[in-house]
Amino acid sequence: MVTITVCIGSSCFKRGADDVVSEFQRLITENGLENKVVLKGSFCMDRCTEGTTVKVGDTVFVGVVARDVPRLFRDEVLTRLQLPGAGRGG
Amino acid sequence: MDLHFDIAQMQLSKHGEELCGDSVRRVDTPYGVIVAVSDGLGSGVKANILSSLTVTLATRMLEKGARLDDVVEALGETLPVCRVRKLAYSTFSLLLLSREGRAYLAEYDNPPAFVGRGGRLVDVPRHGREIHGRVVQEAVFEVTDGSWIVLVSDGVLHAGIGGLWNLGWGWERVGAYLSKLGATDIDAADFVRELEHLVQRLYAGRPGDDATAVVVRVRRPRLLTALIGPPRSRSDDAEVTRQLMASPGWKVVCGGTTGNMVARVLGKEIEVELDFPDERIPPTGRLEGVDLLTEGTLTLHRCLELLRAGVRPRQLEGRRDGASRLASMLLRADRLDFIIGRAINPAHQSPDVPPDLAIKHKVVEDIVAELEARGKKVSVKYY
Repeated sequence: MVTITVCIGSSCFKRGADDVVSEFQRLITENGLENKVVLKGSFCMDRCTEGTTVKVGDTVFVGVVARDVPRLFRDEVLTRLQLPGAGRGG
Repeated sequence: MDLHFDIAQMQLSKHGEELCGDSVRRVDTPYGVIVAVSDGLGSGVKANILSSLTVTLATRMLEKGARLDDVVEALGETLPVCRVRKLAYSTFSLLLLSREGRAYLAEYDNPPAFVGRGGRLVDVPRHGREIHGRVVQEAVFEVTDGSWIVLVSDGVLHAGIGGLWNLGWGWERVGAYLSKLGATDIDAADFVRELEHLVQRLYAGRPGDDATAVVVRVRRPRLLTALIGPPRSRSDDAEVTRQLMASPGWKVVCGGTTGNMVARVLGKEIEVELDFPDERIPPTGRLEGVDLLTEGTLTLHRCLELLRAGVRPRQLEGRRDGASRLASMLLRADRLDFIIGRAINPAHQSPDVPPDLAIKHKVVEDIVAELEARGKKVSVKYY
């Protein structure tokens, strides 16, 4: 089980957090991982000037935009799940 | 607990007249409220002067504790005499309500006020008394949570005259219609708007007479406490959270950091919704014991836009975004306590952050002003 947390607070939202969320949602559905990946929101991760902030497990990524999400999904999420599909995230 | 009086009015001018000959005046007193409705003789400017003099004089005198007899005497001595009709005349309905639930009504030549509770009319016996040559109908009665009173000028009863109904729709039909509205939980503004639309329709858009109605809905006050922004000093975190959670009524938290602070003090978890019912603002969150948890600046900004546009709670029904839900709660509440934390989010002051994040406090002040302009009792405390 992998937990992805996306900050949707004021600053991150202004920088496109909603697109980051929908991109993760799309990839989770496309890979059929609804039971293995939990997508959550957070109101603030205290990295407001660097947003959008995303946490995969305990690892924090800042300045994430929607087009970074497929790579992040492949390298961080699929890898953690040790799925052979790593590399097909995008 | 004290009662709250939710009051709204409508006025239509006789077709072709710019001024309505009826006047309404509402005065809040330390004990409750005084409402006066008057219908001046004739129409247009002359009627307007007579009726506005009547309601102003009556409410001012009653506010100062004068007796009805003094008011009637003063009216007789003050009102100008109409040259055409050789009469100094205007009708009145005077309603005094105390927050403990006592009501006093004095009526002179106006249609009897409608008094009801929920979906039924309540019979309120009047006693006629001659005062300085005029017979005034008086009544003393009790009001409670769910009571409503509608004061009307005769133009409301005459709607439809010669058209839909020969003699207008009349007191009984109006009473039955008002009872249906009384059975709903719509507020006074929506209540009186429904009545206005119907009167307009019955007059086919060309009122044959000035028509005025004042709706008073009596209820327990709806209380709301909103915590916006974390306190400047961290040592106040527990205190503002305690004040919020100990408050009666609705509890609202605006701001991501503020929400996290409350959750930390309470030892609870926030669940953030991940759908975006309005793509302009962040989603809401859930926190046990809090009725509404929203993001701060962007949501408050959008909420202010809604209030400035004059949105009504009924128009917001079913909308799930934070700003609409916040506006709806603010509009439905009667007494609001704002606890405003003045901590500055350093991140929001950075040149990398869009400027609208930096002006939250101004937005909150403007929201408070909008609510006060609607007659709500608002208190603001800063931390």
